[in-house]
Formats: sequence, C-alpha cells, structure tokens
Amino acid sequence: MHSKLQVRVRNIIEETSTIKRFTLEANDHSMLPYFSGGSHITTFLPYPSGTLERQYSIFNISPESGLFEIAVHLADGSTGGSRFWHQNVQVGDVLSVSYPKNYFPLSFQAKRHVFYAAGIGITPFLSMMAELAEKKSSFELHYAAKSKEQCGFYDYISKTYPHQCHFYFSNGDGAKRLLPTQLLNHRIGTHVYFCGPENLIQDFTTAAKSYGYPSFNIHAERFAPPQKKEQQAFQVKIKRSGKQLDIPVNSSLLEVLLQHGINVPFSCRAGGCGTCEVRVVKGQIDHYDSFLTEEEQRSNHMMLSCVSRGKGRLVLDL
Amino acid sequence: MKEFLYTKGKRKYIFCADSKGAELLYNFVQQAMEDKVPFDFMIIGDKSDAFLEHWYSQQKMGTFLYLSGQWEFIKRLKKLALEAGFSEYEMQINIVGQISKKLVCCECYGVNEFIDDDLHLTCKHCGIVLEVSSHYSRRLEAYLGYTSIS
Amino acid sequence: MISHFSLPYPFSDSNVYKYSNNAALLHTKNAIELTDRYLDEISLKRELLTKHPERCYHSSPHTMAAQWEIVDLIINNLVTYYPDKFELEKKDGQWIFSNLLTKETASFKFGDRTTLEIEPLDFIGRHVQEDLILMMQRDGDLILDAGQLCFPANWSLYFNSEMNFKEIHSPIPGFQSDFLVDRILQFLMRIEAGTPWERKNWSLMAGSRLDSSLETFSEWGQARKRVTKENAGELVHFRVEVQKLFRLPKSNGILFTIHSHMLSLEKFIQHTPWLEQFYAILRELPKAIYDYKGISLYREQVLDYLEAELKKR
Repeated sequence: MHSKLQVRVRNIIEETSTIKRFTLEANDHSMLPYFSGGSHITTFLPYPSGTLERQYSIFNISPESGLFEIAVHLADGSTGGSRFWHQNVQVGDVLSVSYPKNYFPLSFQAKRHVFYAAGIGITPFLSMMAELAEKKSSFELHYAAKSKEQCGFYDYISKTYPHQCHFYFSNGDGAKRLLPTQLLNHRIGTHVYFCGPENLIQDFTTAAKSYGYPSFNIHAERFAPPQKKEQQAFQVKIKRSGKQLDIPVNSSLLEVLLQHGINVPFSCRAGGCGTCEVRVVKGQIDHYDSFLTEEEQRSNHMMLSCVSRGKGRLVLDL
Repeated sequence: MKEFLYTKGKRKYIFCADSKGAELLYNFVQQAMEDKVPFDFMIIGDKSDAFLEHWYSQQKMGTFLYLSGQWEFIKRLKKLALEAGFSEYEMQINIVGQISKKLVCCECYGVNEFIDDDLHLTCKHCGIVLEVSSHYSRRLEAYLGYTSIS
Repeated sequence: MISHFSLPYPFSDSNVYKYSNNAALLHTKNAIELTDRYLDEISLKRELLTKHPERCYHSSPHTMAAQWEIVDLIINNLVTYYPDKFELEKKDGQWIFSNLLTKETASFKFGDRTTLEIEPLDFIGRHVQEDLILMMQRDGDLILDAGQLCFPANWSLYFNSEMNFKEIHSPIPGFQSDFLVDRILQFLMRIEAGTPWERKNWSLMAGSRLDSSLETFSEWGQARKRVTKENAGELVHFRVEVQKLFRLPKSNGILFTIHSHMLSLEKFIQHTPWLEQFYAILRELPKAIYDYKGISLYREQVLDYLEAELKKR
C-alpha cells in the first residue's frame, strides 16, 4: 500500500573498518523528501529468495540538501542486510526505499536532550542533533565505542558539536566507561534517548527508572523485526454462531467474512485505518497491518481482518 | 483530578504549601523520612517568582514535586514549575478551598467567572445566555459557554 | 446549474451508517480541489478573514517551519494538478507564485517570514477553497497548533486551538466514543509521508451557509426551527466535508485540508439511488448521532419530505 522512492547510490564512504556510509539521491534527480530528527527508512534489498526489508536511521551530513544518508555496520557473521550493503551495493546502483518515518521523535516539552549511543547506535542522533542545532536547543551526547578508530563519525561530531559531545573508549590506555550513573547528573526537564545494543538500552532504562525518571522522559530506538511476506491459508471459527470458515491463500479474512454475510465495518482494506478490527479469542495471529501498536499485536487479542492472518485456526469474537 | 497520593521510588521530594495547605503534606514528609529519601519542605510565604524558578530549575531528574494550597497559589507555583522543566508526570497538586472557574462566551470571547453548580449564566460582556459545558481549553484556562436557539 | 454529481458522496454500500474512522487511501495525491465555486468561496474566505481574524486564524509560534512545508506542498499540488491556473517560478530561493484565476502574483523568499505580509499558512489558505488545519505531533499526542478555518461545521478554532486530539473531541456524546477517538488518534499518528488519506464526513444544514461557525450559531441555527416537510428540499442542505490528511515529513505534523461541499436536498435527491439510501440511513440513525450532527430539531420533517419524494418515483 505504501509509496516507495527510487534512489541511486551516489557515494560510499568507509567511516571505520566496519562502518560504511551510503549517500542516496533521487533517481529522477528531484529532491528526496525532508525528514525530522530520528527518522528512518525501510530499504528493500533484492535478494535471490525475495525482497529483504531493513530499516536504517537517516541523516544528511553532506553539504547538499535533498539527500538521504545511512550508515551500515557490518556485524560479525551477518547474513542479512548489512552484508548485502557492504558486499553487493555499488555506487550507481538503484534501490527502492520507503518514505521517511519517525518512531523516535524528539520530545517537544523537553528543556534539554541527552543522547546515549554505543557503536552504530549513533545514527539516529546525527539527524536529531542537526535539528536541535538548527533550533538552537540544548543537548548533549554521550557516545561509547571501542576506540577512536572504531568510533563512527568521530571527526564530524567532535568538529560540529565540540561543546556537546563526550566520548567513552573502552580499549587502550585511559579507558573510560559509559555508565548509567551518568543519568544522576541531569537537571529537571531532561529527556534521555538511548540507542545501541539491547543491553545498553536495558541497563540505562532500568537505571533511569530506578532514579525516578518518569517513562515519559525516557526514549529508546528499536527497529521492528522484518515482516514475513509469505501468506498461508487458515481457518476461523465464529464464536457466536459456531460457523467454521476457510480463508484461502489469495483471500483476506475480511473478504471471506463479508461473503458469509458477517458485516464487519471496513474502510481502507490496507491495514492502515483500523476500522475492520476484530477481536480474537483463541489462536496465533500473523499481523500485517501498520495500525496496531506492537503491544497490541503481541497481545494476540485483536487483528485487522483486511490484511492480517491466522496461523492454523483462530476463534473470533463475532 | 487524580487522588493526592505519595509516589514512591523517587530520588527526592519537594513539598511546597501555603499556610492553608501545609497540614495535608505532613504524612508525606513522614513517609519520606521513613524511606530515608531526601526532601525539601517549604511554606512559600512571600518568596519571589525568580527565587522559586531558580530553585526548581536546579533540581535533578528523579525529583517529585507536591503542591498544596489555595487555587491562586497552586496556579502560580505550577506555572513556575512547568517553566523550570517539571512535567505533569513529576508533580501532584492538592487544592484547598474553592476553585474559581472561567467560562468563555462563544460569541464575544468574553470571560465570565462561575461556580460548579451553575448550569447557565448571562455573559457579562455581551448579554447572551450561555450554557456551561465541560469542554475545557488549557490555553484559555476556561470552559466553553454555548448559546442555544431556544 | 450545479448537479448532484458535483458532490462527493459519503456513503458506502451499507444502508446503516456507522460512526467510524472510514478513512481510505488517497490515490490522486492532491490536497486541493477546485470547483466551479472557486472565486465566490475564495472571496468569502478573504472577507471572513478580514472581518473576523481571531475567529478564522490561529497559529502557535513554533509552527513556522511546518507552515512553510504546507506552502510548499499546496503550491506544488496547485501547479501540478492545475497548471493552467497556477504558476510557480523559483529563482535563487525566491518564489514567484501566480494565481491566474484571481490575477495575483506573490513574490517571496521561501522560508523567510518577513517577505510575506501575513503568515505562510494564512497566505496560501487564501488561494484555496479548503480550510487548513495543522496538527503537530508532539510528545506522543496531536495538538491543533495552527489553522485557517472559515467554513467550520459548528466548532470554534479560537476555542479549540492548542488542544490535543482528545480534548477537541471531548464533547462527542457517549457512543463508544472513547474507544473510537483513541483509534482515530492512533490512525492519525501513524500516517506516513507519501501516503495521504481521505475521510468524508456528512451532516445536514438548515440553510446554505458555509461559514457555520460556533460563534454565529445563534444566527444560522435559527433556520432549524423553520424546516417543514414542504420547504425541506429547498432549505435543508446536505453537507459533505472531504478531509485529506498529509504527513509533513520535516516537521512531523499532520495537515488536514477540509473541503466543504453543499447541495440542497432537492438537488441531492434527483439521483434516485442517493434518495433511497439516504432515506434508509437517516431513518435508522441512532439518536446520539443525529443529536451530535444537530439534526434533531428537523429530522422528522426531512424524513417526511424524503418519504413523499420516494413515493413519486
């Protein structure tokens, strides 16, 4: 349902031995859309076995506007997106990407913003710091890496934001660790943002809460896991009538319900508006919508009948 | 309004009251002492806005603020606390005595005062009869007064 | 003469109207539509803005960047979809915008507020029939932070400005509204750049005023008492609001463009399927909804009128 953008790889820069920066431009030479601090795009990578969807934070630290930049870290033993970007993507290649989305926006109320990054977790903060600098708002960055050489964007950050950034290198002499106790120093009105390995997010979130931070002031970036695209047939049982219905591979649950005179209200038929939501009493759901929150999806009690499907058999509260 | 309760798990508490609101905070002070959590307790008296704003803004994250007193006092201190960086998630308020509410006339935007029991009032600015609604604007700090055609 | 075909029809194939999100993807990504009422409605808008600036326009200071984004979006739509009516020339950041229908040309430096006499949102709103509402997404909520509103369906921009989505909708009476308001808010906050949506709202109006503001209700609301079976066809108008929803990717706000269309019932029912369906829907409409839509005082009269017309077919 969602529109895509065609982009061409204009430039590839090795930021460190494991991090590459890709500069993307519109394939038709127009300007790519603007984006707000903390935004990401989904990239659609052509794989022999099908399209691989991967999300990356976007920023633009090049001197020209209308471009997207992403930074990809090649993880040890990566078999997915990062290996593809590092090994297969060349300057001049054309790819599909989504429009920018923002699930990690800056707080509006905050009096000041403090960013905690480790490793490649720096990427969303590049656009957030740029936005705050433009608005002349107050922020600081605490950034951990193995060493100066392994620290992506070290030169850029230390030159652009000399008074706002603090680096923590764990290797070598005078190693300095980034610790959650740092959170004790922030004045009232501070919002904190975490991005990096899961244990960093966990440790800092737990610490902030134990110090009395409201959840409202704590923000963390997590990317949703890629969605499976292969659809299966499944069955549903209607709780009130006891009727059993088969949903074949090429039909949606909504279509089958309507065919059988079960009038579920609906509108967009694309998993975006929430109108055709049905309650699920039993069974496992494969969610394909872009409407329910992650928490609602995990609860397994509701689904959008126009796009989402069951694994095996579902019992619907209808 | 939320129940006025002691919120556990904070680094520090600040208790601010006027002479009428202080008593209600004594239990909370007691609790903070038992929990060995640092706190400041202050009867505000004639402290200036500048003093309060500076004091508030020097607090660290994890501080929780209690305000107890009469409506005008609460309004003033809440505003200062918000400007200093406290959010609604970091404070609780307790209002002693009557709250004077405001009603905006839907035709002339004039502001009228009313008390809880009023269902209708006549706009003192343009003279039309207004129905008191529960539709509230934080920007105007007022409820909306509707007119009817009957 | 205006035929029924000029009206966007708000009902799907069901004869029971359910208050719901009823949003659909907008396939032609145009925020703006011009009708044959363009010049009349533009001049009415400008007159209202001049006479009642406080009623028709509001903006919070932090919306300036989003306002420019709206100017960019709307001007681009105008020159893309109506190239014979609007022109844009860009020279070193200087924009020269020409409206060939009003024979006006505006020259300004994009992004520089001082080069326009009025705020950017107010400026561009005076070239389109739509009302423009900006809701900023901040701290997990949507706030009505700016708007140019000349043709409201009985609400007040002055009063609702800077409210969040739930506060704005708090007067909607009890029909499972909390759940629905939450759901619609969730939907709005997930709108993505590049994927605009459309919603249609309908109501009836005794009289034909587009500027049915809450502030002037005691004037135009009187007509509700005058509706009879005999005059309903002429007096009562079917009103459709087409809302288009766009994510502004830079400011992360949502732009609502609201185009209000009106047609007298006698023209509306010339098309027999519309008469049949609307009669069925109005008959079955729950009380809470027709109260909310302000139809209660004259619903019976309109039903009598529609029934008599049905018998003639």
